[in-house]
Amino acid sequence: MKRLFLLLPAIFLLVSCGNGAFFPPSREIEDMSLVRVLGIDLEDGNIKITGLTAGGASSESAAFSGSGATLSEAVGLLSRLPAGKNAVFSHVESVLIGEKAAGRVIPETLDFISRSNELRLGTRLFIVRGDTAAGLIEDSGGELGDLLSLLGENSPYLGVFAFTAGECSAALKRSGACLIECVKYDENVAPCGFAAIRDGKLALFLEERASEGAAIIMNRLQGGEVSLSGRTLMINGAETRFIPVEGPGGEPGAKLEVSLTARLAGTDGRTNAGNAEDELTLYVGENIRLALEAALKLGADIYDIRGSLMEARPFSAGAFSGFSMPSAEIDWSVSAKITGSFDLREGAESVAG
Amino acid sequence: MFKTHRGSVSASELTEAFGKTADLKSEELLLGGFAGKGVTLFYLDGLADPQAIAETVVKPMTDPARFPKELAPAAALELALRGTVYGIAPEKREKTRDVTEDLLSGSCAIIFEAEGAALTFPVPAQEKRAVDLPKEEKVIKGPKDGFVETLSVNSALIRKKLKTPALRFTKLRAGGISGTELYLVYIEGRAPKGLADEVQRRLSEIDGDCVLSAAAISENILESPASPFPRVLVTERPDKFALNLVEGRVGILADGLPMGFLLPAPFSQFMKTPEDDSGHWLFSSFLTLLRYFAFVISSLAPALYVAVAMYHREMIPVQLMQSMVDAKAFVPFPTALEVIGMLAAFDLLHEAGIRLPTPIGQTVSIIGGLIVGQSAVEAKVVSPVVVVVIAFSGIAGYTMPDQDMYSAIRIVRFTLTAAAALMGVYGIALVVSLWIVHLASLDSVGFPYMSPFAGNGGRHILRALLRYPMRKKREREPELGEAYKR
Amino acid sequence: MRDKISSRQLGIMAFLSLLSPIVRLLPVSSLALAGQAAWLSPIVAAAVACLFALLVSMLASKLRPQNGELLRASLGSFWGGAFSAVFGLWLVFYSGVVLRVSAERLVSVLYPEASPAIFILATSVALLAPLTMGNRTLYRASELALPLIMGCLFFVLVFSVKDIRLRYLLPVGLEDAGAAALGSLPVMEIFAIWAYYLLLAPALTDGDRLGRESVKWLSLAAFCAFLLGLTTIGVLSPELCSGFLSPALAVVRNISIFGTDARVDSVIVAIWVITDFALIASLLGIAHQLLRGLLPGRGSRLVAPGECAAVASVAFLISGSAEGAARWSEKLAPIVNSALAYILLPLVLVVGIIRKNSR
Repeated sequence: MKRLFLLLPAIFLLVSCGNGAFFPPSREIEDMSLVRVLGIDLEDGNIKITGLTAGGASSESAAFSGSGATLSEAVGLLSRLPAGKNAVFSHVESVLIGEKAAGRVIPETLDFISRSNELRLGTRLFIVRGDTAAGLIEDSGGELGDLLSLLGENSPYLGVFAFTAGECSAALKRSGACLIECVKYDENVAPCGFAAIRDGKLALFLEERASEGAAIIMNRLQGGEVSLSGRTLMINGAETRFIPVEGPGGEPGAKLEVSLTARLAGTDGRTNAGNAEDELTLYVGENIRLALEAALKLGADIYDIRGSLMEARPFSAGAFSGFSMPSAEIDWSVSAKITGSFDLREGAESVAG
Repeated sequence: MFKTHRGSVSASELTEAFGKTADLKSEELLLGGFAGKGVTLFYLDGLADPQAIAETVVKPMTDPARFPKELAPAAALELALRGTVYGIAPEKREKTRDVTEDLLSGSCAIIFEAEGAALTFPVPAQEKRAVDLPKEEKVIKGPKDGFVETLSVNSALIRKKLKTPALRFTKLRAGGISGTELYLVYIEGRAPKGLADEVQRRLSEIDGDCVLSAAAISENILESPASPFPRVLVTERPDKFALNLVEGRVGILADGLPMGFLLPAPFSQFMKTPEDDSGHWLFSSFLTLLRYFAFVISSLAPALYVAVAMYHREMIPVQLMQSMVDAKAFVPFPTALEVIGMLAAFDLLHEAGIRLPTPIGQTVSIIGGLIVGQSAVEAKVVSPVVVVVIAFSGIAGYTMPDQDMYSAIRIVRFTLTAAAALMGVYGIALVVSLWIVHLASLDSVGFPYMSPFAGNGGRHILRALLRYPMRKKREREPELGEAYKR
Repeated sequence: MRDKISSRQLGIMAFLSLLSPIVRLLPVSSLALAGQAAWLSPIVAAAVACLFALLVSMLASKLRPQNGELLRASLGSFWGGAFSAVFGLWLVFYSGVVLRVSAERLVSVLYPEASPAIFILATSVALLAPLTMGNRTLYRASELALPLIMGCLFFVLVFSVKDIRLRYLLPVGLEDAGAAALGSLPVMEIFAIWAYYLLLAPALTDGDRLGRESVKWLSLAAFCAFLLGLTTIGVLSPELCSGFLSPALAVVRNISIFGTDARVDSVIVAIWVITDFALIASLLGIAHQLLRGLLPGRGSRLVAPGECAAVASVAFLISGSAEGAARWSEKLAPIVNSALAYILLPLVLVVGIIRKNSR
């Protein structure tokens, strides 16, 4: 023990001498640039990575690119930024994939994120429609990370939420397909539905209403405004129950029971709800139909209905082993209830009925 | 008939033993008023009280009514020994060495040349410091008395707090030149028998010339003095001393040292103060846990900062990291050097504040804080985050009730920071493992230092971490008795 | 190494040491055999392992010599010495494998630009301290490290629980019992190292409590393995989990503290290094005791530095790549440990009892 303590003076000397040569290399904090958003595109057959760094008092947010035959190579080239800075990927919140690149790079991207010791499985994925990821990054400026976080708040439609790399990886392994949130740039960063990935390739897009249906099926609809026949409704919450059923041929199927609560804009409250509940029921029902149609077209359980059925029946594994989207018989029913009214003026809300 | 056994004490031998020193006073004592009896008075100027000598020793011994002319020196010696002289507690000495020890303790000696013997009477000079507030240990609610340099006063302070005949004082002497008197203090039936014997054996084996400092006692009786962790509880407070005796510990008081030493002193003892018994048990328990937390924070904070800033930036939230990057943008020094430099500066300020006289010390602390804290940051010599981390670590360390434990933290802190600078959190983990192994290897007089956390079967851990309500509190520490049964 | 220890200290050390391979190897090795039911496998393994521990403790208590030299007491001086050498050398070798794998993990998780050499060297040098200080120090140190490791595990589990998805764990039914039992085989392979502590560890102050303490700490280890498997599979899904080399580290990497983007994987992995350190130090301590008797006189003082040098050499030379080292750790070492623990050591005990009864 005494000898180990006698090594201390030597250690102090080594602090400045051994950096990198023998001991693990260290870097000073001011030499780091935090990358908040990563963009992936294809350019001339190579993978192009664009990183958007965070800004502060001493430096502004900036975008830097690197290209390579593989994602790892491209990221490695990106790591060395101008002015001697080093890119740090540990705080990357979002990864954008250009629409053209989405056809090829998604499995590689997911694999890279899984294996990276810097990127997290909770990193959100987005596909950029109508543009490249680099283009969106450049157009939107330094606040892109925050804008992507706030996508759901000012969305023109319900059902906006991002899937993480971990969720997509798990879904691809379980059912061979997954969903990824789409965004576009139109004076601002705006959501525009989901993209369905099947066998590692971009298969189809779910537009807005189908996306709302998907959100309801996956029990992730948080709420928002809907306009129907000139009336505005505020959906407070939606809950979907999954009930396992047997199809006519004995194949496993499912029944979805969706219950919604909403408020009606205006001061007349519940008494003048009229047929708003029926309209909402039809509207949501149609959304669910569109979403299920997309899944059937894809031939994959992209909403993990099988998983939801298993949660409903935790001790009956055998009953769902044969569940698959093309052959499954899925039925649904929607019940909507108007519980009160709200004032459309900002910040004002009237008493519940 | 009186005994006629002859010893070996003589005035010339005594004078020679002291080497003709100027403060050794001697004069022929006129026994019964008659000269030529071969009786000499010796005392050390300053240690013995001349007034008391004159009143209680010289006056009765020169009284012819008590000591007639025809009385033989042997008979006179016996009479004086049996109370004819006013001086109380006389001791008969037949060896020069014993006489010198008594003279050095403030006694006067009457040499009977013919008998080769001496009578010594304790007449210590009354110059001693009054009982005062403890200087190093702040008292909020408890008693305000503190130990002084005089052994008899200190033992009296303990007696006043523990009015039990079971309280034992065993007198010992240590230091070839200093001849420091020690009291081994314990409560019969409370302290394990083996413990008192062991401490006494260790004190007897102190092989030094001089026992005039706390370290001279504590380092000499410990198993491995190389460890920076304190294993002897040193206190200026008689109430703390008494409380620990009741818990079953053994104490040491030393003449000339205004402090008491308590053994065994495991790590958990250094996280407690007697103030804990003054407040509500819940709050006192909270404070004890806070001290453990403060120990960890004080040791680890600078090292963690270095590791995170140099190797593991992902641990910092984005906004904090951005402000750290901005703050450190123009600082020319590497993070490790910044932190080690600030630690050194903090320790320098601490030492300067202690050593200087109080008014100057306070001014130096304020100036040092302003210079280091504000100006250095503005001049971009050091980043503000480092100042915050070091200050936080320092303040956490000051919550330690014992300054020796804070000193240990200062050493641990440096080792962890160096390891973090070299290898990041892995270096911290490795050095923490080594410190854990080191702590596990320590004993305090054969008692596991990390008891009850390790080495004692895992019992009574809550007792170390919390302060039980008085109704449930058992003063005696159960693990002490268990340890010394084996 | 000197001094006796208590059964409780032995149990704690064995528990901490088991956590190292549990985090490293589970639940991936169970997933390959049990599929979704892999998180139940540790429970099955616990029952079997506890029964084995009780049985072996009972047999050992008939033989346990005062100085802890069980092999010599069972087989006599010559064969006992030979077996001591074999076990001792295997433990040194296995410690080298663990050291290499631990260093590679540090490189892949925390220090991607570093070489494992520095970690191998640093750990080997640091091992000198516990090896030269005696059993009492080493096993007391395990008592001190226990709350730190348990706190770390508790932290990981608490902050991961919100990410668990039941659909990844369910459904389970009686029909999964067979799969869970199959998946318990890799767990049993990991638990095999318990036998080294049970039978080859230093002399105990309270040998009669060994069985009880073994069951207690083995059950706790199995429970931790169960919780870890439940969390890992529940957060990642069985399919994703089986694609990772170390899914537990993937879970730790994704822990979010109250919604902030701060990451704690560095600290967690660093604290987990302590379990590797405990495993290597304790196995080397056992090896020290076995090999010390072969080097009489002053030679016994060379055993500790010799072991450290040997461990470092094995770690360096065992393979040129991380994959090769992982193969040793995941496939070869567990098989050897199982053979030694479940077959050879009990046979040695039985032989010892027969010899004792025939005398």
